[in-house]
Amino acid sequence: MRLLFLKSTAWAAAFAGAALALHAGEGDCHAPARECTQQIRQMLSARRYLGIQIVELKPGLVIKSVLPDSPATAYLKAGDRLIAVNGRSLEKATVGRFKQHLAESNTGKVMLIVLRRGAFRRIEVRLEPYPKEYIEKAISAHLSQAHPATAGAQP
Amino acid sequence: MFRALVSKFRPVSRSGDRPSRVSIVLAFLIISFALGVLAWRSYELSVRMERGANTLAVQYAGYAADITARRVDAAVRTEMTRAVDDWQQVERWIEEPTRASLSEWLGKKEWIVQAIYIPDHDPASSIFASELGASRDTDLPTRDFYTSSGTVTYTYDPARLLTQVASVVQKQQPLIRTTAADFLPIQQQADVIVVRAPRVSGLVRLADGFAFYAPLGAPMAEYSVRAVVRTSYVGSGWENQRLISFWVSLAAVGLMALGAFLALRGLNREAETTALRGALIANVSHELRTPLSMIRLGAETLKLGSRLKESEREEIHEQILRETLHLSHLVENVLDVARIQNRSSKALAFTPVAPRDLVTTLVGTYASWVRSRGFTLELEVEDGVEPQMWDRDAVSRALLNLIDNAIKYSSDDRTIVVAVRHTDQHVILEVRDRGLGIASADLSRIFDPYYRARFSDTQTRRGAGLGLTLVQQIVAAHGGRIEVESEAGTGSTFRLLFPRASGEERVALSGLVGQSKPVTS
Repeated sequence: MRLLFLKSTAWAAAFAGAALALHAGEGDCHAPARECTQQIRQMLSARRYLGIQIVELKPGLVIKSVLPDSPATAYLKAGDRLIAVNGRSLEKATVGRFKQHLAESNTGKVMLIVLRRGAFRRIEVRLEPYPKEYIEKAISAHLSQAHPATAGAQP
Repeated sequence: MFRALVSKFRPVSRSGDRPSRVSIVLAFLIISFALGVLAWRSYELSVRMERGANTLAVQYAGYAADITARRVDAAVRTEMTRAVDDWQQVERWIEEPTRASLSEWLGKKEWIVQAIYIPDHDPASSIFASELGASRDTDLPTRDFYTSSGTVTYTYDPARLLTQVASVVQKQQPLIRTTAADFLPIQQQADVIVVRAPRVSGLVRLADGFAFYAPLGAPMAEYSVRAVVRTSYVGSGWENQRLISFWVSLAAVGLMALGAFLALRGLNREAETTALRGALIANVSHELRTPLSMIRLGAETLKLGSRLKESEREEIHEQILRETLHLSHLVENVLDVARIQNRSSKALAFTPVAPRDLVTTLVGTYASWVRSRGFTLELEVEDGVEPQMWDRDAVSRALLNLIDNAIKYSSDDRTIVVAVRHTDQHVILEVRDRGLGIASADLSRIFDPYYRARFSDTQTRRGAGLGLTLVQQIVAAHGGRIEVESEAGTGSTFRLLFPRASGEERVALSGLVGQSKPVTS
């Protein structure tokens, strides 16, 4: 019964999403395309990333996958359990909390302790900005979706 | 110097029964001093109450601003948390959030203007939504939040967020709730608003009240809550005291002025009386000299002139007798007035006196003297007046003084009418002349001691200015009063109104006086 309810809600949400997507296809973004480009570039380039995808087990955080060509590629592997970051225990932390800790490290250097195959490892990683092609890809995706008229004119 | 001043202000009562006007200033001084103290106390009270009201206003402003700031903070935090929760709901139902779902989420949040969602698994597929118009504020703040699958960064408009939570910022509740029955109508209310980047903080004194600025918390630190409490409205209480103090001190000053005025006038009168008293000596000696010289002249003529005719001799005798009578009358007057001045009112001897009898005797005695001045004395006596308890000598003297006055201030018509009348309440003795009359300006003062009406020729008419004073004293001692009807140029009528005693009262009175002889009418 509960499952049915969840399903129907999911369907409703999907339907609403589809309707909105249809609307968005005509270019629903209120801001000018140039403005959007500038904003996306600004918002993305201001950030630095580690490049891992985490699942939240109860308790603990486990790396689900590592992005190729990311700062984490060389150091972390899928299946690593995150124990501590910058000297703070992650035993009962959520994904959000872990990311908060990453964002708060103002040097850009992160010290992690992970549990891999029964052994603790101490890992130092440097957070890096998103690669340029990521940003450009995000911009062009936005332009083609929200500003179909101007999409071709943009680089 | 000082003693002289003090003695001037000491209550002196040499001018008859009336208390000296100088003594009045003392009472005024005391009263205005008391009023001054009252005004000062009232002012002090008002100052204290004002201070109290101000303290209350300051505290209330601080309270209102702080409470409101914390409420706004809480509301802002709640709103931001709700945004995060809403997005997490989106992520829960949709495996891969799309631009549409981001737009929808954005559309529900009035205050978020643009947002970007960066999925962890592929930052390149970030999605962006914006509600910005062409004109935008470049320095809008940005916030991040982290979900299990990605990161959301959004830009928001603090002004719009504050509008969202505006329902918190209202007029603060009155600090003291009042009902109609309450005694003090204190309506303390703060006008609370949110201001951006105020140049001041904390307490600020306004012209008509107090303002308190309480800064908001972290995300909205640029803004402050300002609470303004006005103290200048009517009814906070101290204005009344201030007003009372003002009017009371005004009254005190006024009373002081009045007292000073009265005192000065009293001093004037005092000086005038002194001057008049000085004149008395001259007057009296002059008055005494004239009859004396007449008597001396007569006596010398009698002694030297052995060849006088019998008729001439008779005339000289007559003259000596007349002048002696006048002289004794004068001396009596001076003595009586002196008694009055010393306030030892002469004990009057009340005996039953028939008014008709009294008047006829008096006229009989002085007829020749009056005639010698060229006057005619007419008598009008109403019958049916029973004997009254009078002092025969005193009443006679009063009447005589009036006749004397009528002679002194006469004009061409030399007729004087003496009348005895009666009403139910009074027995009236009246002396009427057709002489100079009295000017209305003098009328109120003719009974003052030493006062003499300002005729152009007052100095040529003899007199000490004591006659009418004496008359009034005598009538008052009998429980009666004196009435004057006069007009300059047409003559004067003096009426002595004595209370009329009926038969029984008369008997009772005679009993009191110890009169043994029964009197029957």
